[in-house]
Amino acid sequence: MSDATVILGSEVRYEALDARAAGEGFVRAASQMRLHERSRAVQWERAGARVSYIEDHLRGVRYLYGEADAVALIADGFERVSREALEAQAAGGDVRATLAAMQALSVLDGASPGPVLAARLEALSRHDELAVRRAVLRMMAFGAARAMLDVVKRAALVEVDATLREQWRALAQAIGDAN
Amino acid sequence: MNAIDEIGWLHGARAALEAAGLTLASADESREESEGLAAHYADGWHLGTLWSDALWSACQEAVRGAVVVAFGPTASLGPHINARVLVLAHADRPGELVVAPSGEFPAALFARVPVEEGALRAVLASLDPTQAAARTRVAKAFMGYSNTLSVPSPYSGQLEPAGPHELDRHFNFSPSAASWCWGTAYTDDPVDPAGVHNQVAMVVTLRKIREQLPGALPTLTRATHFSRSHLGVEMHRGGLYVWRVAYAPTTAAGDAVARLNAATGYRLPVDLPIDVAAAVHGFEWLDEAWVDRELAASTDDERTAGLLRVALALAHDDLRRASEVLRRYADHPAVTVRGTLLNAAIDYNWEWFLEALACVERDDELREVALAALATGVAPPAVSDMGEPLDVYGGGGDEGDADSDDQEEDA
Repeated sequence: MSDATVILGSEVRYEALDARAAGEGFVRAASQMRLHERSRAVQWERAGARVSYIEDHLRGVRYLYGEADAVALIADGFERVSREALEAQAAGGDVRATLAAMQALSVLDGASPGPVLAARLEALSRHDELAVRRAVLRMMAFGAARAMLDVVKRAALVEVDATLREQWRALAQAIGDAN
Repeated sequence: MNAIDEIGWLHGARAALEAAGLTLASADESREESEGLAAHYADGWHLGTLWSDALWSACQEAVRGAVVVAFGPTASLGPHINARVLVLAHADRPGELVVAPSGEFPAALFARVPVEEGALRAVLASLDPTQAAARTRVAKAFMGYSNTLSVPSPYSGQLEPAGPHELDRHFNFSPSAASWCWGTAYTDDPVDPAGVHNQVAMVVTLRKIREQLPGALPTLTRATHFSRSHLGVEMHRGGLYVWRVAYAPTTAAGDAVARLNAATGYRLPVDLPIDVAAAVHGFEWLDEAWVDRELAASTDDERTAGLLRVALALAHDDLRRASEVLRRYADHPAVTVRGTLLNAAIDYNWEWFLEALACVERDDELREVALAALATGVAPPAVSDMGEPLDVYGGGGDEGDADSDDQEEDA
């Protein structure tokens, strides 16, 4: 059985999800408090199937992750944000909305960015605004960087901001060491 | 001769009292205990409870004419500290018994129950720490700032700013909560009061258990005496305190908390155990609903900023709520308001918001601060070896613009 990730809408309350999980016979197997760099997370289990609820405060995204059928059971009826909606939002003209959508897309795609996200990350890595380029670095550091090593290496060479350039270099180095 | 024999309407209650496991008080015992209770509220305020005139008056009223008629079990609250349940009655209140966790516990919060075995058993169980129910509910509320809250010094009796040390000293005398507290490295009370006999070992233990999990918001939690609720105090930057109370909802004590709310103006959840209510009285208890209402009504930018600081502290580990507040105020015209959001994003490491702010913020200084925070990374909370934030005695508290005068009026 494959795994699935569902991005939750802004109105979804954790308490309601927890109640749904309990109603479907899931047991709360673990919970992890939010720390400075670590997300708040809860894991439910039922007959070997696991679903995790994650509040990623670094990326501003809340999502469910786990075995696809189990995720669907718990998420059914709750507001979720589709890939199509996120891609449409990312394509809009508002930088803030674009970044928010890309954060969620980076959660969905993990270490294997789809072509739409990869193209957008690549384009925004050349953006005029330092803040945007910095945001792209962080998004890629979460997973996509390894699959986009050429973008990382280029940025490590051409980035005009010295601090950010060093961070791109450090990321490239870390990927090289890991490989 | 037992005390119940001296109150006419209680003559038929002997069976219910004895069936509930209570020990009837003799006439002499009753006289001694009843006079002691009245004397307890005859003079000055006692340490360990943060009194108000309203609470003190309500306690005096509660013990007026009350006669101790029976005793319940004795609970062990800590090394060499015991509390015996008292059951009282009023000659002019037929059909009602009053159950006190101990003679030192604030009388306004004594439970009022009908003379029925079931009701008596339920309230006795709620006061028995060995039968504590699962803590299924968490309540959070703004408690105040360390430099604007005060607790009495046990040495001089003078009020002093409520830093963590001073709070410890305050609770050291509490009739409702334990003197010791633990840090985020522990999820439950690590101390077994019955197992501690060596004073030196206790001092070492009490220091060790204040350890905070790396990266966690510094929080010191103590158990309440009877319900074993977890009374946590989150210590945010600038000395901002937030109550974080994990408890088992209960109505065993009848309308005790509702009566306290009516007498004092508090808005405590009415399903809160009475020992929690006693412990938080005297501090602020301003919940999310209060903050939302005040924010909606605020037309003053400084006040809005102060309230937002509180709202975001309450929501620091609730991304849904935090995102909603951040997005609602991200385009506010006042720099002081947007600066408050920026500071909170740095405090709680909301990097996504810092990135967005750094992209669109129109104030150069704020934008630079956001960029600098992203470039250098946001440091996790730093704590002392006592599990306390390093800045809590260093001034701060300048964000406390949700000024306490207004809150007291509202409360």
